[in-house]
Amino acid sequence: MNDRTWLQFAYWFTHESLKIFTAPMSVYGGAVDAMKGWKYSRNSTMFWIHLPAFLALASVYLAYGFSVFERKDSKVQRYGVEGERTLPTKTLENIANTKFSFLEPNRKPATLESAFPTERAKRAFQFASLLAKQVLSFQPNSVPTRYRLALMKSIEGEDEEAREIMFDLASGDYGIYPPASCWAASWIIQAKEDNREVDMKDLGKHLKNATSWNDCNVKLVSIFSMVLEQNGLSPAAIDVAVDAAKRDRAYNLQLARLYSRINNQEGLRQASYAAEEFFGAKLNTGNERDDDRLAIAEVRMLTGRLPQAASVLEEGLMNNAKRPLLSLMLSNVRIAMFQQSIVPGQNGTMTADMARLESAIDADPSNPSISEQAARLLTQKIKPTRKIIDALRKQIDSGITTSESHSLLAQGFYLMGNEKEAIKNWELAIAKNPKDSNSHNNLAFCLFKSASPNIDRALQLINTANTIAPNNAEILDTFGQILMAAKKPKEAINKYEQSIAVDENRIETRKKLVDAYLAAGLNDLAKAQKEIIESMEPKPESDEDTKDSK
Amino acid sequence: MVPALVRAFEERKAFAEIESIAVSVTSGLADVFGQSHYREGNTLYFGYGIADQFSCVGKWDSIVTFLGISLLCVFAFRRSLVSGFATCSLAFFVWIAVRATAWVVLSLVVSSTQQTSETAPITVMNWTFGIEIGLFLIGALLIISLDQLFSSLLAPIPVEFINPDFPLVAIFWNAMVGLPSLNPEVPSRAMEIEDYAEEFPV
Repeated sequence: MNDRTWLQFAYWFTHESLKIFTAPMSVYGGAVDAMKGWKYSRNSTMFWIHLPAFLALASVYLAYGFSVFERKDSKVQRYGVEGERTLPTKTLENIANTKFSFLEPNRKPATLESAFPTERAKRAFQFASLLAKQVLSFQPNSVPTRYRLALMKSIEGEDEEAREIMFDLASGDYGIYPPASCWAASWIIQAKEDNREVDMKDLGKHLKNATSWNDCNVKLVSIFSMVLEQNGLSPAAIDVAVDAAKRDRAYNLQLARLYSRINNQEGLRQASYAAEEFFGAKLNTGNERDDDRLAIAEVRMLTGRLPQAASVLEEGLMNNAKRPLLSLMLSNVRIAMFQQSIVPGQNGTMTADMARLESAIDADPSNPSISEQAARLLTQKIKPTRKIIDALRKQIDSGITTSESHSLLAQGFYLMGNEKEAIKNWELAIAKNPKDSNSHNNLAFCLFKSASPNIDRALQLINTANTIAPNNAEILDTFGQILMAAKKPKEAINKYEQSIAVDENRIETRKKLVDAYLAAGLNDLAKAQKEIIESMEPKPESDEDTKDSK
Repeated sequence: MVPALVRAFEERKAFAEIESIAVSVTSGLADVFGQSHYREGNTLYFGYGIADQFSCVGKWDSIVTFLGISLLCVFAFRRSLVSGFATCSLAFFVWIAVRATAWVVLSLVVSSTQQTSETAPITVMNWTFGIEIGLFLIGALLIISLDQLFSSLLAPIPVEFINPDFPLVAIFWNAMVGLPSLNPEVPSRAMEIEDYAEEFPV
């Protein structure tokens, strides 16, 4: 192309370009003309033939575009529903809760293998966990999803991870989520049951949040009630126990026990009525279970209807005598009836209906309470019958007697003047219950007062008793006496003063303190103490016998 | 050429990027069709059925084959630069769409299969060679058809249809889509009475 042509082209191009700004139809007109040309060409036919392929491809990308602009929360909703359909949270909870043996004592802890035995079930579990992860990829803090995932981890055996998630959810950082609180509370209680080291600080908070949930395990509600009661919050404990009884009528029994402990007669009447109705109805179905009868008997005992309690147990034993739980309970009921029959007789002695205790022996000769009762008879100076003594001997021989029985027996022997037998029984009581401060104290006192005193052993025993119960005025008093016998008046003064600090009305101890002051040469203090005693004694002749209380 | 192309893609790590796009499209389609799934990296996990897992890893030869089909179209039909570029890029679009649709449709088919009893075997549809061949055929048809479509749209306007009053748009278009051998001739028309009147007013 020569210069002339270039110039012509430039002139033409400028001319045409300027037309765009001057002619009203410029670009549009050109495009329309071009379209007309295209319309009547072979290409337009080709276009219509091949358009379907384009539409097919476009529809795929349009669908994809729709998913890109789908709202995040609607995706979460969809995946949540799908996950719940694949494996409901309730099912996961049921499986995961088998790890808490206190909630379900009769079920084995489930593993992934045992809970999802078939291939299909395993896939469902796997898929549910994938869906949960997918939801978390949209909403990393979705609480219900994290809860589901934690349940799955717990089932898979990844306990530590499950625990971390659950405690995080239960901490309240994401608002209150009762299912997680329920799990956290269960975990703490189970750890306590297994004697693992655990921080009990948040148990109350978790239980409170958990029990606000309708689907919370009723056992947890009842445990919350017990925790409240132990912390001296009886009204709140009653509210929670009533709630438990509403959720499961079987818990009316626990409510009745609670009312009985706090001596609320009206509440006890209502709860025991409801419990008796519930367990009675269960018995009437013909499905005879020990628990139901025991519950009815216990309710009747709580409301003081002992003969009726005995009758329901006797009825149960009529068909089948080999029901050890019923026999034991019947024996206990009869012992309670026997205790009611103990009344003061003439000349300051006591009388009791021995036939009742004998019938308790008939019901269950191996009930340890029988030996306790028999031992108590000795202390109350009531002569037991031959049969009772035989039962007691048998229990002692077979070693099923309790520490309490031996302690009582020892007291009885000591009162009767049989020091040797008394010492033997106190030794047995201490062997059976090394934390029994009373037996330690009594044995120490006995050893130091005996004809051939063993001061060293007595000191050792009273020291143990003092360690077990540091603020017991009686033990401190005995300690002082033994120290005086061991010729350690200064230490004895210390113990007597501690005893008086616990209970300042102990005149006998004050008198012993005076002696100790004198022995230590502290005459001024002795004089001052004497004045206190005089001011406290309106009648100088009244004399307290400290031995009686032992 | 094909192995060299594969190597070139691999060396530039282009596969990972395209794979990720392919998985996104599949995931989106599955979402639209109500197929719940979980994506982990470039792997998709479906519920039951086909789709134990969907991964593009190791199946990259097919994209290169698709690229081959489109290049064939370009050379066989002597496409212009713009049209040829459109056809080549189609290889990726078609490849992704075809595979994603196949995955979702198969998983829909499997998950809608009634599995009445617990013990019945689970229907599993594996990604077989047969499916790959079928998809290749469908993809090839789509590419050829779409190549025709785009070339019909991107065709040069014949000279006789260009309005000599406003020729600039058409010429520009022809310069864009026409083959280099085409002669960009300046159209002209005979002078008319009005033109003389304009230039030499009486």
